[in-house]
Amino acid sequence: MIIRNKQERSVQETDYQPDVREFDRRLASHEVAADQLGAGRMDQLSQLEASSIDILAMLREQRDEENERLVVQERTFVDDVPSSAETVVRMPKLRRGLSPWWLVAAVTAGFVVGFAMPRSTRSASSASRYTLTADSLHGRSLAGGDVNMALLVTF
Amino acid sequence: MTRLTADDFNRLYREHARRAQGFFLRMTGGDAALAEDLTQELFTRLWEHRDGFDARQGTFTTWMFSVAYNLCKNAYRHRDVVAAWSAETMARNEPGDQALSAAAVSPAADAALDRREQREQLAAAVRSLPDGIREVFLLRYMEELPIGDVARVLGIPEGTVKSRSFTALTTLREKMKRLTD
Repeated sequence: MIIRNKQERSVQETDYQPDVREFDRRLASHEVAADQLGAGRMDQLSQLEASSIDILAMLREQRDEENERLVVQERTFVDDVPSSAETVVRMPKLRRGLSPWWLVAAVTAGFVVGFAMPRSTRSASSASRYTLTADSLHGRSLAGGDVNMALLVTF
Repeated sequence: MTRLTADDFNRLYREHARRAQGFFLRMTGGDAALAEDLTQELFTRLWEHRDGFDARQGTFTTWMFSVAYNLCKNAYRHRDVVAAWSAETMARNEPGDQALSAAAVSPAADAALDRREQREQLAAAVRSLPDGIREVFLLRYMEELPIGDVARVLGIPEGTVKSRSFTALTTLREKMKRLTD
């Protein structure tokens, strides 16, 4: 089977090769003809350009007049200036993310955490302040101390 | 590859902006405002993509006209507006030209006027060429680019540039002959 295929292929190649050679020969002759045609066309074009010189001169005069009348904007390009989009991206992170709502949310969270915290876990300074305050003598809770704690947690 | 600095680019802008705007003006059929917008858009794009320019692969002019041509293709959508503008302008200019003709007394002034009229009619003939032919004509004869550069800008073979140049010149010559007869 394999041998037969090989034989078939060799027969096909043998049959095809003269066609390829013929094709190459024709292609080469066509290319020569195309080159000659191109060269001929170029000659014709050059002649036409030479004989149209008055038309081209008039059109170039018209072009120069049109260009002269144009108002061209003054413009200066500068290196390394970030675009407006880049400017927004490069703003300080604190300013970029800051909004009044974030501030309100942070303070509220601080108060909640501060008040919810057990008194034993609070700092020594707030505890000592608590004991020294007159209010402590009357057994009242220290709102000021709680506020301080809340602010401490917040910031 | 040397990167274009701001100084280089500013110099190129001063040298080429007017030429580019003139090209846009003729490509868009005389729409001055559109030509101005396209020029600014062109140089903004060139500035943004200046890293892509390689002087060894081609001149700045070829690069500029390649980008300009792509912008023109987008601008062709405005053609209806442009056609209306051209018709309106021609209608508006006719009485003025007649008045000028009446005012012109000397033979020299007459000759100058004739030449001006011929020029304007020729420019109108260029505007009326089919797009593909007009593009080649403008780049080859108005912007005076070599055939190879025109082919590169438009993305077509050099042979096509030659045949379109031939067609454009033949058409214009015929129109000119009709005008002078």
